[in-house]
Amino acid sequence: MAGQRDVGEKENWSTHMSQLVRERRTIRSFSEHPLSQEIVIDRLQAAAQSVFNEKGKLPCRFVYIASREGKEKAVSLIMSVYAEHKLYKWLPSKVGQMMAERIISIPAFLVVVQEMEESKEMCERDYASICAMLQSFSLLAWDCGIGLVWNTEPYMRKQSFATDMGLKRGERIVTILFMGNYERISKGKQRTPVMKKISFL
Amino acid sequence: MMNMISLFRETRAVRDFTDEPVPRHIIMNILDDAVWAPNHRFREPWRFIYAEGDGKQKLAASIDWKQHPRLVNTIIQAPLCLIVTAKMNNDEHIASEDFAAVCCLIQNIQLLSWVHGLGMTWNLGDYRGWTEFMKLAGIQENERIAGILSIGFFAPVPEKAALIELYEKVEVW
Repeated sequence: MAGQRDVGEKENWSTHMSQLVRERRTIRSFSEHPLSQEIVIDRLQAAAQSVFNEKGKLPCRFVYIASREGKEKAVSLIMSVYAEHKLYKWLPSKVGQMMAERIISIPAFLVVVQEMEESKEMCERDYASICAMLQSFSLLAWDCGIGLVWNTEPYMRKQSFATDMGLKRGERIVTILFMGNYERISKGKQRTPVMKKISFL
Repeated sequence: MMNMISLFRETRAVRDFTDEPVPRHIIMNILDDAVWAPNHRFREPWRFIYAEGDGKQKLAASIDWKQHPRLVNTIIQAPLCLIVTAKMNNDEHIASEDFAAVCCLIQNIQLLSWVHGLGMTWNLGDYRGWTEFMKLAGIQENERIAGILSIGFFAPVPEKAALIELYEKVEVW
């Protein structure tokens, strides 16, 4: 019966979503296997759809970096903003080179750029929605074997880095996601039960 | 056939709710799943205020209706009002990370509610100066509101969302 099947499907989907939300982990070490750009962008589109659905305007844009040359360029910009702002006390060139190589070996980077509105309130609301979209994206990526980490280090707010990344006036980098297929999954830390963090009116 | 991608595509904000009460155990299950959101250094920077019935009506009554008609109507109409707070911090970077974590948590609530047949609206605005509201809700000095969520069963299914064109917003290197 159609009715029964509907109920069954609904229960099935709530179990599936609950598992996905609980099983997702932040991934910092990736398989070097390249990602399919089509799959990534498709899932990003669905993630955007899960948040921005009232007026249709997307307050952000993306730079997807997965070619060897693209990654080399981005990493050299990251390394030079580190050096310029002395974000590390001292980095021997050999260690710097190793660090650069390690980042380049990550299959893909996704730079998330917010297009800033004039009002502070709007900016904050957009920032919240972009974070929500990225959470949807993390879950959809996880669902097809892709793990990621949000990088929010202070270097991405430096003007020189923004300019070199091709940002225009009125734009800022929210985060750079580093991503690839995951191999090992950490156990994850048990969360504090909600009962201890809720009050009832 | 339904798959994960189409489930996410279908998720949307809901503003019209039925009177049917929302069972508390469903919401508690949703929240215990939702707190698996990513958060930096395991700070778990969130807290919840669950308001229904009289408590919810008092919250609504403390808001200036003329200034915020849509918010007041949504709170009155939805059977459940769930306030989610984020910890504030003098360090702007930490504060911004913590706010982001709470936004991820709220998105989890949105997605988990949707698969339970529950609709949600996420209200977020500038709530400075809402002294009475903050007092009623018991919001502490070091907390800010990341969302006032209106939750309930919906009927009819809300309008289909407009498709977002993403390809033109992605630059490829």
